[in-house]
Amino acid sequence: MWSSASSARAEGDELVQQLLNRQASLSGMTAEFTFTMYYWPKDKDPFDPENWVRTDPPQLKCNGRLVRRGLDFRIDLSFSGAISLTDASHSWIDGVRTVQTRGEDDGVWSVIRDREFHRIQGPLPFLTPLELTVFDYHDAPLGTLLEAKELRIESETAETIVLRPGPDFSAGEPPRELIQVRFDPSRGLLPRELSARLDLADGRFQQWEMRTTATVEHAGIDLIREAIIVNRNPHVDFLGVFHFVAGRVEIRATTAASQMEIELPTANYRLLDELSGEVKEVAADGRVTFHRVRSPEEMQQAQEAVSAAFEAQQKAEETLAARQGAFRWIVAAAVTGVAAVAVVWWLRNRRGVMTP
Amino acid sequence: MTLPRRASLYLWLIALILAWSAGGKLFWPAEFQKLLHGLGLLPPWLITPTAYALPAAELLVAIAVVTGFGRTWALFLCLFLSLVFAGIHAYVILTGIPVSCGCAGLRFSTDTRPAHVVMLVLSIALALVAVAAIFRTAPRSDAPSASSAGSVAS
Repeated sequence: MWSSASSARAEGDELVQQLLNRQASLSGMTAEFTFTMYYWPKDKDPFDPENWVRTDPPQLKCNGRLVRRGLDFRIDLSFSGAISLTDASHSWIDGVRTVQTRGEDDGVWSVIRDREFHRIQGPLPFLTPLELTVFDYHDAPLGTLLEAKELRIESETAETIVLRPGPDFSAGEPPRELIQVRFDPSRGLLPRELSARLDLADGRFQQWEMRTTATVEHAGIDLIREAIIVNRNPHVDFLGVFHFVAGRVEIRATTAASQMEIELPTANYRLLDELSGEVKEVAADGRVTFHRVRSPEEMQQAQEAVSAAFEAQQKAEETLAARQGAFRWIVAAAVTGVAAVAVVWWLRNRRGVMTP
Repeated sequence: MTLPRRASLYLWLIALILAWSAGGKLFWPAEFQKLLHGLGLLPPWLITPTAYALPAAELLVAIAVVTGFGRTWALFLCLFLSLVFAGIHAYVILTGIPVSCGCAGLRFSTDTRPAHVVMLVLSIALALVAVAAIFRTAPRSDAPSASSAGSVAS
């Protein structure tokens, strides 16, 4: 028994190492891609493009470019389509996110620096795999999470692994996330299918699925060239499906760190630096119109306010779900009560019992 | 079929309460939808249909009870509505979150606990009267020929 457990652990370690190898081999990846969001009726197969509700213009379309070096990367996104989103450049360097956007109304640049990995816009299948959206509460790819024991392998076959959060991840709470990945072991653990499900209160869940539909080999590494990413939510009739197509994807051995840095504008911008506490506004002529550095206490208070607002929002959602659940029970009880009266009434009439 | 005077009085009472309750909701559906949103019992997609269907059902029950046309079915519907209303008020009282509900018409919608207690008692009373009336009417009374306000009161 001990030997089989240690053997499984050894196999798990081998898989983690293979994942880390793949992760390392993706360093230097450059991709130019498009993803388009469509809707699909939830009773149809979302992976069949015939079932997508296509509109002109599409609901959401994005042209993007990604450059990667180690675990750092930069993404430039340009949105079009019926849903209007501001174009954005994100960089993730040494655990710090920098995002730069330009206001549509006033044209003022907005620059934010923080450690909020989950705010990097996706979904993208590149980052081994899909972690930008699925693992939006983490700041590391799958291999790194496994290596750090934040995820553990629950079961494993030649092609599929099932993952759960590690024991230390949620402070003793039972794991709510279930991640299943089907790799192609003959192609360097290229992810073929991925499903990540997060169970929520009151039977609700959120599920993301990805299926690789086309690949390309570059520098001896198999890369995703086309993928379908599906967001499932049982309470919504029409759901989003993202069709991801990379026009060009390749590995460059000479990707410089400077390619990932976002250069701050010299004028006409607002800066919010959550790391240093600096808040700055600079006019179009370069004049500083506002400058303040928040104290650590102020930043702590601001963070607590955000946490409190988030908790309040979660509590409101739970209350709403509880009320709707209670209402279903009330209606069921009322139907039962009416049915009981109806049965008695019918039996009395059948026997010809008439009240005076 | 004719009914005893006291039974007729109860039927008129049901009709008046339901007609009053339906009136404001029918005239100000947008306001009622806001109340339903605030109540948080219904999923969003059900709010608009409910805002129209519920007062329409209340009014139909009131008319049917008075005229005698489909009275028995109307009383069953009245029983169902009363039980649902009672359940909602009991839930609101138990959870301690008073909400304006619009059950007594929009004019008397308040978000106080005593108001919910009053509405709970009224809903239970309405349900009991509906049950009593159901057993005092026969299926034959649903026939159109037997239905008129006069026959109720006679």
